[in-house]
Amino acid sequence: MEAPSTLRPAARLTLTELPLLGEGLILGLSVQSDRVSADLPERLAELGFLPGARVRVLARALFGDPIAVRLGSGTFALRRFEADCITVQVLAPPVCGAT
Amino acid sequence: MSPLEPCIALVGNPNCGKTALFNLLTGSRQKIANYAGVTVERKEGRLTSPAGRRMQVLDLPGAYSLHPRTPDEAVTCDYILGRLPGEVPPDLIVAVVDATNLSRHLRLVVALKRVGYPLVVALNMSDLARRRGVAVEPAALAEALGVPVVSTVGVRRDGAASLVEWLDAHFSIVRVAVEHVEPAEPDRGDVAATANDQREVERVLAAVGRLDPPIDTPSDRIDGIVLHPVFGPLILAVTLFLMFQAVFAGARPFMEALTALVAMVAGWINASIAPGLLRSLFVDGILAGAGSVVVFLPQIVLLFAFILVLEDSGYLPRAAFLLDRLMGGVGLSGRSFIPLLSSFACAIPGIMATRTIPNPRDRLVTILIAPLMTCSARLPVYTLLIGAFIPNRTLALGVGLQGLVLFVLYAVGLLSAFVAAFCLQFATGKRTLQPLQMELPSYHWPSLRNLGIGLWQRIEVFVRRVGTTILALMILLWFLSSVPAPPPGFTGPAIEWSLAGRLGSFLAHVFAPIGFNWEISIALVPGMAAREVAVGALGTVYSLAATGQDVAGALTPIVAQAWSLPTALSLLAWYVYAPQCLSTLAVIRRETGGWRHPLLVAGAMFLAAYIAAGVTYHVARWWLGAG
Amino acid sequence: MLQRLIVTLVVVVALMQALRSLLPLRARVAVARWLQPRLPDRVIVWFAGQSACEACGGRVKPPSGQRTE
Repeated sequence: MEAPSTLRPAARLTLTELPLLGEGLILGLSVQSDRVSADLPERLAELGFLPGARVRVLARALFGDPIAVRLGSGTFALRRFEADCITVQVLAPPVCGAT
Repeated sequence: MSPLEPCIALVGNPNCGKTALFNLLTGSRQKIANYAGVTVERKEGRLTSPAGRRMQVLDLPGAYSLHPRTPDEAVTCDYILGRLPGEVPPDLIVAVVDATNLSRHLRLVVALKRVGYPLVVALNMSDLARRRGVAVEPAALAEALGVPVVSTVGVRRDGAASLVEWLDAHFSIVRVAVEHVEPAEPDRGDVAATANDQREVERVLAAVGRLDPPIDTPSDRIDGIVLHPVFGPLILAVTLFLMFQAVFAGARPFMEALTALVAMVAGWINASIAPGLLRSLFVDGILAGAGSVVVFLPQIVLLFAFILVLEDSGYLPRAAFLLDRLMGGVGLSGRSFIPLLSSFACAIPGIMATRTIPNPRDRLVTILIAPLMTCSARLPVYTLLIGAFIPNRTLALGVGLQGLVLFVLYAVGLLSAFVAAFCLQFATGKRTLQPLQMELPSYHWPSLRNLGIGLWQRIEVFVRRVGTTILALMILLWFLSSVPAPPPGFTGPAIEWSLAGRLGSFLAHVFAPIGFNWEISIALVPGMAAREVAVGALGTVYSLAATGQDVAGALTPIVAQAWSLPTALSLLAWYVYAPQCLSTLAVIRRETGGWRHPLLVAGAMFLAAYIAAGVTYHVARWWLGAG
Repeated sequence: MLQRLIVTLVVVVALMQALRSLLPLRARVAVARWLQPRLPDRVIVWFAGQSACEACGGRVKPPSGQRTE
């Protein structure tokens, strides 16, 4: 478990905390709650959420759940607790608009 | 299936265009749309190549891996891994991959290769990849993968030509080689194994010099607005609202033309056949019955045009994204949204589409509430009553009152479904959090061809239904309403003496408390077969009851005159919940594997319909009496 | 008299059509079996459905293995 909002020198976050349009590098997958089925990381991995993959938060719905995540050239909608299972390292600050 | 005919199976990730390719290969017209999980069953077709070789082609539901998590994925995995008893695994797998998203799609190819089947990769959507500047050379990819590769375009008419050519040139050789292949079990499917496969994919892609996908595509920019926390829901609401307005306003001229046509035919028959049984059969049974259903064709076509455009453009999963929070609130997963939305067309495909839902409990709840979605068969009933009782007034901003009422009826159905899901949540006990994991495909312009085919199929289905089931039921109803003939001394319409008339006056005791007269009570009975039949039945009953004048094709004014407003509103409320058609119950039985759930649904909906209609009737009476 | 005959015929065809489109497969095959000695084969095939029965030799067979279509 990571303590939220404490020191984060390496900018290690969960995917949920990644800022909108910011880019992140997936570090690992883990189950964060006992209300989540244990094969969730496997399923996320099958979609391509694998360590080393780059992700980018495209949109958040009202109240921040669910979120739309860009992964490679595909986009996936994930619920918050699913995004909580994915640890990322911040790669780039949010970019505004087209680059 | 002839043993000499080799069998090829299309396998790939969801929404990579397998079914489009299948349609090209076999000349079928299976439904395709721009979201994951359109195909939930195995579809079979036949291909005859230019060289005259015949083969069987199978279209399988999309799968992300060889480890199924949903019932539709299980269909694919069990079949290609040879786990189905008495089924011969395919002779060749055509692994369909989306050329714009190779790094994910090729992972399944790597897994399939390990299983040991003869394999050919179809680089689908290769036109799109070229346009985006991420295309790879099939030859280079083939070399790096060690598997033959052809490029295809599922949405172009000649898009499968290279695949067919390849099959012609190489397939017989493969056929000899396959005889003894035993499928190997796939790996365990944990994160490490998947990561391993991914490394292999990266190696392949590095070898072919893959270009990184652009960071910011037009699709992303649209998503910036459409998925916006404030604008997104607004856009969704406006879209749906416009849809119902258009269904009502746009179809009017066509409906009027059809009504006039039916009346003209009736007049012509009246003029050319002498009064008697035969004329009554044609005019009262066939034209007043089936004819009054036909006139709703334009509305149904318009509704489906909207639904098809939404499906084809890729907007549907976005709508699911926006409503996910709401769905989560009543204990459903976002995966339930698309099956529920399909139920707007008809509950049957909607219930079938629940096979894409991984959690069995979620799936069951979705099946149980799907009949509450306003299916297109209710549309004729709604339109008839709205047309007869709701004034055609324009409120502010060009919003028609009739369209608004239609929108409200749909909304009430949706809301009831959510309430039902919320209650069922407690009935099914504590639950784990349900994942969403829904792919949001790139937007693309709806293909006119696809739209045309889809609409044509809907028209065909509707006309066939009217021509078979509805026509047959109307003739039977006419018969039951005409025999026995009343004795000479009987005053009043002959139908009151008939079998149906007696049944109606008996049922009227049951339905009088909620404001239904005996004519409505009769119409409800064949309405069980299909909801729109109720409209036809009303047509026949009123046509027979009307002494003298023929009424074919002009049910609206009769109803407007014969019923009070509370009765009409009560019938509208009844049809929001209306115990569904028998075919829906049959599908629920098949999908849940027993009679318990369909009976539960039928009972609950009957009760809900009765209560809702009763409350509406009495409230409306009290309100009109007071006001 | 002719009128009555036509009307009766139409009603009977309508009845069969209604049964055909409303009955589940198994019940339909059962009805087809019962009708078989009374009606020509082609009518039986139409009624029970091509996939549901094999009309060869004038025998209606129940559907073989359940195949999803």
